[in-house]
Amino acid sequence: MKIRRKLLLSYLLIVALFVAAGATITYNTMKMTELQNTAKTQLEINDNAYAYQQGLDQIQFGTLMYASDNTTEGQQIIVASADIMTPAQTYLLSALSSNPALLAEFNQALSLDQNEINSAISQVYSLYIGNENSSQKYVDIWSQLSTLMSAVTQADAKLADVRSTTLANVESANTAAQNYSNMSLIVAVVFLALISAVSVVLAVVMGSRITNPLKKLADIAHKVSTGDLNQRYYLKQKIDIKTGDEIDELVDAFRRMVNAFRMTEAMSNETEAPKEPK
Amino acid sequence: MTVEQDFLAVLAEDLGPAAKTFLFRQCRNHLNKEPSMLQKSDIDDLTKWCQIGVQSALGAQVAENVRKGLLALKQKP
Repeated sequence: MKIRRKLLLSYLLIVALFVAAGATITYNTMKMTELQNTAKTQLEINDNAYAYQQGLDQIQFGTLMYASDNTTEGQQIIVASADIMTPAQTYLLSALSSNPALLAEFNQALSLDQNEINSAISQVYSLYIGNENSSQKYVDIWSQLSTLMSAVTQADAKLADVRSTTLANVESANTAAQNYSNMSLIVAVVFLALISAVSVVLAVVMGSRITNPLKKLADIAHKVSTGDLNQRYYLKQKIDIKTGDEIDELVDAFRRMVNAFRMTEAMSNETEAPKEPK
Repeated sequence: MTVEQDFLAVLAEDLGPAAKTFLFRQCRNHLNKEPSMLQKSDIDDLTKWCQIGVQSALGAQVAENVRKGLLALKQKP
């Protein structure tokens, strides 16, 4: 293998390690972003469920005020609660569409609101503005208020379930994101150590595989340059190198050159032709 | 390629620039002919003299390599 190809492969190995580390960390970062979005959505669901709870509490409070002769303030509070509950309801129906369990919980709270709570409020209105002015009227109003409070308590409980589930989901997403974060840190440290170790090993191995034959060749070249043409010793003992690259070619060329020196010297020393072997 | 060129190509593998002088010398001293006059029938004889010459200067291993390379020329069309 040629030296350039060896160096290129070494470089590509290090680049591959960098790419692997980068891909792993990028994947973890994407997962963390995904989990962050999940946590954000769950928190928004939680906020809207809380807003809906507050709206129900306001309705209950407004109805109580209405029934306590503070009709104007009571109506204002009940109307204001709709400003909170309507957008919260719209958001929750949309956001929970992908979570049937939570949607069912919210639908139960919604059903209580739209049936029992609204019915109780209507009844309180009717009874309050009715002409009858007897103690029975207040007994009936109190009965409807009890129904209202019971329904609000039940709806609150359903919404609390939704909220606790979303908080658990947020906690779970945070834990998973933390795990991915820790994994990214570990991957970064491990790959950094691995890349450093591989770089050092490659530098030492490649460096020695290139420089050691050259050192030997330089040593032999120095001896040849001083007139020592004992090529048999040098070529067999010292330049016995097979690297499969340009250094091999250099050694071959050098071997031929030493052989040529040696042969030229032998021919010039030869006084007569060698005899035919028997 | 001529027989001379074939011989030079094989010898140059081990002898480098000394191949031409060596071949000329072996042809003149042992076959009494110029390298350019070499025929396929000379291969065996010249191989033997080349092996002897190389062995005396460069050792048996190189000489054996040269011998094998030169004898392979006989198979060449």
